[in-house]
Amino acid sequence: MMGIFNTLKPLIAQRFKAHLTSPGAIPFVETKAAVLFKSPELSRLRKRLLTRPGLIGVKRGMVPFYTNEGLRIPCTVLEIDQVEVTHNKTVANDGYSAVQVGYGFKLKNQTKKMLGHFAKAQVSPKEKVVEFHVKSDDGLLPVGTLLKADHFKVGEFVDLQSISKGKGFAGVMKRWNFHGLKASHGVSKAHRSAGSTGGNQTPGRTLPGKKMAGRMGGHNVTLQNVEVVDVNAEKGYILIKGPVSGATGSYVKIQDAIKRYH
Amino acid sequence: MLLQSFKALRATRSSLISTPIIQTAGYKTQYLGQKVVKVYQPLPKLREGTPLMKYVKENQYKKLDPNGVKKSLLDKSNPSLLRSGDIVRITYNNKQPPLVGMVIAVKRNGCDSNILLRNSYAKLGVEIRVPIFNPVIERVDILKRPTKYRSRNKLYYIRGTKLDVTDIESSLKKQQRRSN
Repeated sequence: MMGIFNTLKPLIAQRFKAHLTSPGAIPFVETKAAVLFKSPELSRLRKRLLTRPGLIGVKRGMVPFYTNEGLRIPCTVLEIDQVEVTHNKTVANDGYSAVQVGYGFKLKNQTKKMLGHFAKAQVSPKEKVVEFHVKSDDGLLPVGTLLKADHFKVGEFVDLQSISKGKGFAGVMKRWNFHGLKASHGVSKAHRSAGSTGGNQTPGRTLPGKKMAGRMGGHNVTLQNVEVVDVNAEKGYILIKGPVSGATGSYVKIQDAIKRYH
Repeated sequence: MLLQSFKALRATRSSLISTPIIQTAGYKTQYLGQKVVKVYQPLPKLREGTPLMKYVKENQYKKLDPNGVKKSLLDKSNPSLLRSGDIVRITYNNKQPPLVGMVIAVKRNGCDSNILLRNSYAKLGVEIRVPIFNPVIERVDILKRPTKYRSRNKLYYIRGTKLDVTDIESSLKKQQRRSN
């Protein structure tokens, strides 16, 4: 019996010790720890952002623009006046990179905090300050840089963001383009009404998001892929094809079109 | 590298701004005493302070109507201004043939001003709105003025009535014969 064991011993030892390794096997691999999908770093990297900041303009009105071929293009005039970089936000400091840009000049009713902020950037006090997220810290501009209207060129496409005109409390026909009820056939004092807002016992409630009457306008509106028709850096204006939401004198954020440029 | 460019930019900025401080906002704190915040002067005003829309509109007139002929046609102080009831000919500087018709309406809106021309071809009323500051339009000639203007500036009501535009060309020929 022992004789058999002795003869099998080396085989058994080989089997259970498992010391035989193939010459191509990698003995040790260093792997990275898993990062949460919803972590701030990953969500920042996932965002579709531009490489450079945009401009702030003020809507001043509309004019026609005639091409040499005789084509008439209705254009919105946006004023670009004293647009300067006031602050930079970095990934190390703030968790994301962004360029803060100020528009115009305003001294009245500035808080001491804001005055200190502008003094630090060595720029005059601004009437409007906005922030443009950029992809990485490479897209940041030195503080105090003067951005002019030739930031964008003729024929380029931009995205415009502004606050639309407030319409007050609007009915359902104006706000959501409902058709209203009939003019006759027994309809009584409900010609501009929404009609039914849901079922009966099932579901027994009005579903969330039901379109109803309420405050209309006065919210952020983004227009995408709008063409730049004319640019004058010296006189400080941009002509944009077509209308821009908001009243004259309202601020408009102008950026490269996100769907065309990265 | 970036820092150098920062410094260079600061230097150029400081040369731009001759007097950096126009006002100091002073306030007291409990521990540090009097504190002062620098307020930098704004950059020089664009267009020497003229409002943007005014500048843009004037610039457009200069570009589209350098002689001021088209503008004077709409000027109400001009005795030979364009009025509804006039028969005009519009000449284009491209290959488009000239257009003749009666002015029904004149819309004054800066460089967006236009006139509504009405004519009849084969007894069919035809209307076309002409933006007169369009660079394609070379000239606007007044061929015939009515003996008496109608008491309205917009003659939309003549459409399809006995006052409507008839054969303009034959009436012009008659006028020519008379003058000869």
